[in-house]
Amino acid sequence: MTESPPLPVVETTAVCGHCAEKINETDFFCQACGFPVKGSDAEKKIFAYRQGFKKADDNADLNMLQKKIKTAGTTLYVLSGIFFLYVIALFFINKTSGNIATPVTYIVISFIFLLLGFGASKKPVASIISGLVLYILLLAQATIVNPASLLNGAFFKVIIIGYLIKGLRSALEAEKIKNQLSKGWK
Amino acid sequence: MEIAREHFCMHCNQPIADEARYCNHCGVLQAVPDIDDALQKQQRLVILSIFFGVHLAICLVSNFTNLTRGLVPLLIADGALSVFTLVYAILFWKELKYLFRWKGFSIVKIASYASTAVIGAIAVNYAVKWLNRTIFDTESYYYFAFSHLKYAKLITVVTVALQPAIFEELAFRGVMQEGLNKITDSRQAIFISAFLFTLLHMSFISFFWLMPFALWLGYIRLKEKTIWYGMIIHFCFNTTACFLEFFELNLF
Repeated sequence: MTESPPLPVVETTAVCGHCAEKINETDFFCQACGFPVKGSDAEKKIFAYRQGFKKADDNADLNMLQKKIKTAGTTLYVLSGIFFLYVIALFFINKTSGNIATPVTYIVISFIFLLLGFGASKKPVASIISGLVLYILLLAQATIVNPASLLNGAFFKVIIIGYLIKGLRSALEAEKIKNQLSKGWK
Repeated sequence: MEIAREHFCMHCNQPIADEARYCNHCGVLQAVPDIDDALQKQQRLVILSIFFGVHLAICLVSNFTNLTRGLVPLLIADGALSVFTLVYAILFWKELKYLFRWKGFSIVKIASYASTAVIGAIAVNYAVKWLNRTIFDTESYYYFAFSHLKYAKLITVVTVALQPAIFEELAFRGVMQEGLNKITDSRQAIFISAFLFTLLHMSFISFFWLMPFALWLGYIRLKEKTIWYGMIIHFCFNTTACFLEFFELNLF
């Protein structure tokens, strides 16, 4: 035995110097990030410089979206507060009625909005969709019971729904950007 | 066949890999179907909103108006929702098909899920009875909606347990959760579909047990990649509630 057995053929061990994705030996540019793998040092520097700008752009976009998401989160807290104040008002206005079903329901609603407000910073899409649907459901229910109630404070209702919808769109957009930043590939 | 599958760089026309974002010959960024993707997500969101909106409208009308009082209107409302869900399921059949397979079929799993559902239903039933008596001062029985009919018990089980087990699972763990998967990540999809499912029951006090129940169903549907366990759990849960009612009303 003078010769060791041949090593198994390894596909390719080369990786991109920028994003660490696998590259083929024939590639001039990385297919995942566009890095000039066979370029000169100057070309590589220019690439890095441009990437810096792109990253800054993405971060600026994300910051703007985060602000809108935060506003939607605050809207959920405000809704929670409104329903809580409503319960307190109920207790002061008709102490004697003895019906606790209504206050209990409103406390639960207030509690749900509070939880969704908490959730908005971590899982914005889920929290904001849930809050929006809950709010629309409450409006629809009130409208069925008393159609005139839809116009009460219509201005504020539109603002609340507007903030939540803007928050939701921002949350979806932010998710997309984050996905692209983390994966970069595909 | 090979040529048909090949992609070419939009700048230098050299063949490139299907999934390449940048051309490996000239380094030019290829058109990414980002805008398409965003549009598809938005369309999907609208489609799901219509799906939920119709459910919500029918549930609101049957809960807060007199239009669906009586057996026949109630059955018409239930039937309409079932047909509506079926239409959606057929429209999205390609995406939902895999949920009807049952790869890891296991009697042990069925038994353990079913028994957990029965135990959960008993616990919830007593808690709800207590809550209804102390807070809401009411007691409600599904059975009384059908008690004047010939096969009242059977009809109760079919309308309270079988129909919801099939169509609510198909609607929320099927159409809704799968659709939301396309919009956001699978965990948020579980949460949203569970929350919407809970809201449709129109009882905020039920939130504390319906929400965990729905989250559990959504999680099982994600983990097992089949809708059948969810249907079995849902059926067992609701059937237990029916039988507890029958026992309470001394119908045996």
